[in-house]
Amino acid sequence: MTGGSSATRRLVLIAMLSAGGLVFFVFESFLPLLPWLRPGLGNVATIIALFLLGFRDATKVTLLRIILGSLVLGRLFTPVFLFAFSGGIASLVVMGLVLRYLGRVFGPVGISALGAVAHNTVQLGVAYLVFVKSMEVFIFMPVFLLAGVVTGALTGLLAAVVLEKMDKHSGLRALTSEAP
Amino acid sequence: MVLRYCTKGDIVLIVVLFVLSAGSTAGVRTLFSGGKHVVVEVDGRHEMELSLDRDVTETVRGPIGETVVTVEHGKVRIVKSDCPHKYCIRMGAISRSGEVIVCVPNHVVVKVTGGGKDEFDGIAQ
Repeated sequence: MTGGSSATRRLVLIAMLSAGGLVFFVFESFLPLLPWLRPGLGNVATIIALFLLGFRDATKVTLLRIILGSLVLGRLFTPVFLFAFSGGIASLVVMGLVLRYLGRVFGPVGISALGAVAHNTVQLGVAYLVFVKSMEVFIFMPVFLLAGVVTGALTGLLAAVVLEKMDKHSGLRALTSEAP
Repeated sequence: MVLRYCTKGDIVLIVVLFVLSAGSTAGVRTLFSGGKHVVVEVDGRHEMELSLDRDVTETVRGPIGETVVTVEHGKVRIVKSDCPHKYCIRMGAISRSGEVIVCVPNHVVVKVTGGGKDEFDGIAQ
């Protein structure tokens, strides 16, 4: 895994993370849970991309995951897609900003929790603006907040473990070491 | 073990977010359940709005006379009316969102609104 240009390494990592996130995204849709309270495992890929590659490439990973995942599930440009898309972007932006400005204070766990909370809040907002148009949707706010904290912290923990393992794995470290 | 992966900031943040979501439960409760209102309409015009939380007696004027509306113990009823059959008084007290008392002769409608979901899925008009 040594050699090759830094751009190629980046490309490989983006592709790997997108593919991994995509698998989680599709797998998760089969879980027989409440439709709106999924763990958001695909976000692990976004977090890893943020830490290793930066905001720009994390955006690529997130967009690829959501668009390709929705395509695979036959939901592209449906209302469900709108939820996934808006939530994914909100979470990405919040996590990117927190990492950029508060990166010394929070690790993957905290950043992921904030991202998940942003994700759920924006989804409720979209539900209000586009579908329900009644303030009553915000009755679900506490449930969504709590779900965001729990699932966000857990996926963040998973991302932290993966980041550590990647750092210890010599081949993968060679892949990431030169990426700023 | 798990804490190894958390910074101090992470732990504080998660505790704060937990507290916030618990706090928002209380906030949502006061916003959506306490705020039940009674709307009184005369001849289709919005005449007044009363809170179900405060006991009060109000009088409205319709085409044939006065109708007295009373809020008591979180329920609203018509206690006095100048209409001939007094059906509106016999309809008793209502408190659930979506319920209505109507006095047809005096063109008075008293309805409960707010407080989250209506008791009815929909009302055909």
